[in-house]
Amino acid sequence: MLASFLILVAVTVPIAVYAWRKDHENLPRAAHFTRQEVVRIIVRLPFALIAASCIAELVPQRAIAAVLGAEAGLTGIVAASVLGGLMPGGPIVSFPIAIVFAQQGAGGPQVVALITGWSVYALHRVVAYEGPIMGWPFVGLRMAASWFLPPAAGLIAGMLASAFGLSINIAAQ
Amino acid sequence: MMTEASQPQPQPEHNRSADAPSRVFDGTAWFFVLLAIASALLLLWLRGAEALLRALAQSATLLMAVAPMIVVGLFLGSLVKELSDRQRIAPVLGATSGWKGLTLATVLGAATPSGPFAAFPIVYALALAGADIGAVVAYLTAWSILGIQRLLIWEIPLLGPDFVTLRILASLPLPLVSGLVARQLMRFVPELPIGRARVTGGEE
Repeated sequence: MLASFLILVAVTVPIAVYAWRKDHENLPRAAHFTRQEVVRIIVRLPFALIAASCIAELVPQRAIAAVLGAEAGLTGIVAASVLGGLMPGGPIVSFPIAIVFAQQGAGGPQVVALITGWSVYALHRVVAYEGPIMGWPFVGLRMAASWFLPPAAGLIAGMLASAFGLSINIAAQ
Repeated sequence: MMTEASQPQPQPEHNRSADAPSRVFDGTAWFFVLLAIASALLLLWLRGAEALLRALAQSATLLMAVAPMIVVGLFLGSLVKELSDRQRIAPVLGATSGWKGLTLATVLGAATPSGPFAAFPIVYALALAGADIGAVVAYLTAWSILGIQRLLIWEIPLLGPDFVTLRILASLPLPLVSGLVARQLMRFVPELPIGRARVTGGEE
C-alpha cells in the first residue's frame, strides 16, 4: 500500500510542477475541483469499504478453488469467470488463489478466465471504488460492454494453446 | 425527441458548482449506507460477531490507507483535467476517434500504474475533457486486464512467463472490443452520467 502511495505521489508531483509552470492558475483550479470531488466521494467511501470488507468475508476463498478444481471445458471457463469476479483483494491475494486453483486441477484456459473475471467484473473494486467515483449508470454500461470478455479470454487462450502448441503451465504448480 | 423541458437537471457547467449538502448525501450515498448495513447484517447472521468485527477493523484500516490515496489520485485527475484541452482531447479520444482512439486508450490504460484510486480519477478527468465512453471503457479494461505494472511485479514472478504470455496474447484485443461495444451501446442511451459529468449519446 505504501509503495502504491509513493508511486502515485511520484507521478503526481512532476505533473503538478508542469501544470504550475504552464499556468499558475492551474493549481488553485485543480485544488478547487479536487475539494468538490473529495466531498462527494468521502461521504460514500466509509460505507463502500465496510460493504466491500463484509462481502470479502462472506466469500469463502479456499472454497472457490475447491469447488472449481474438477470443472473443465466451457462450464469450467464460465464458472471460473464468475468466481474470479467474486474474488476480493489485490494481486497479493488473488494470484496465489489462482495457483491453488490450478493445483486443484483446473486447466490453463480456466485460470485465464479466473484472472480475467477478477480483473473485469471485480465486484470488490466496483463496490469500493468504481461505484463511488464513476456512479452506477456508468458501471452498468461498462458491464454491458464487457461481461463476455472473461469467458472469451479463456476460450481464446485454449484455442491459441492448441493451435500453436503453446504451453499453459503455471510456474509454481 | 422530447420537446417538453421535463428535466430539472441544469446544464453540466452549472452542475459542477453545485455542492449543497443535500446533494452530497445523494441516492448513491444512501445506496452504500444500505449496502453496508445489509452486508454487515448478513455477515453477522452467517459468520457471527467475530467475522463482523474483523471486517469492520479491516475497513477502518483500509479507509486510513486509502483516503490519502484517493485525495492524491483525485488531485492527479484534476491536474489531468486542467491540462487536457477539450479541443485536443476530443479528436484523439472522442466519439469520432475510431480505432485509433480506442487503441490509444488501451495503451494509456495498460501503462497506468498503481491501483484504482489513480486509474478512476484519471479516466474520470479524461471523460470530462472530451474522451467518449468507448475510450473510457477501453482504458479501464486495458488497465485491469493488461496493467503492465501488475504484470511485472506480481503475475510473471508468481505464475510464470509461459502462462502470462498466453494470457496476454488472448487478452490483447479485448479492450478494443469492449470499447467498441460500449460505443454501440451508447447509441441507445441519450445521456449517461459519469460522476458529476454527463456524457451525451445517441446517434452521431
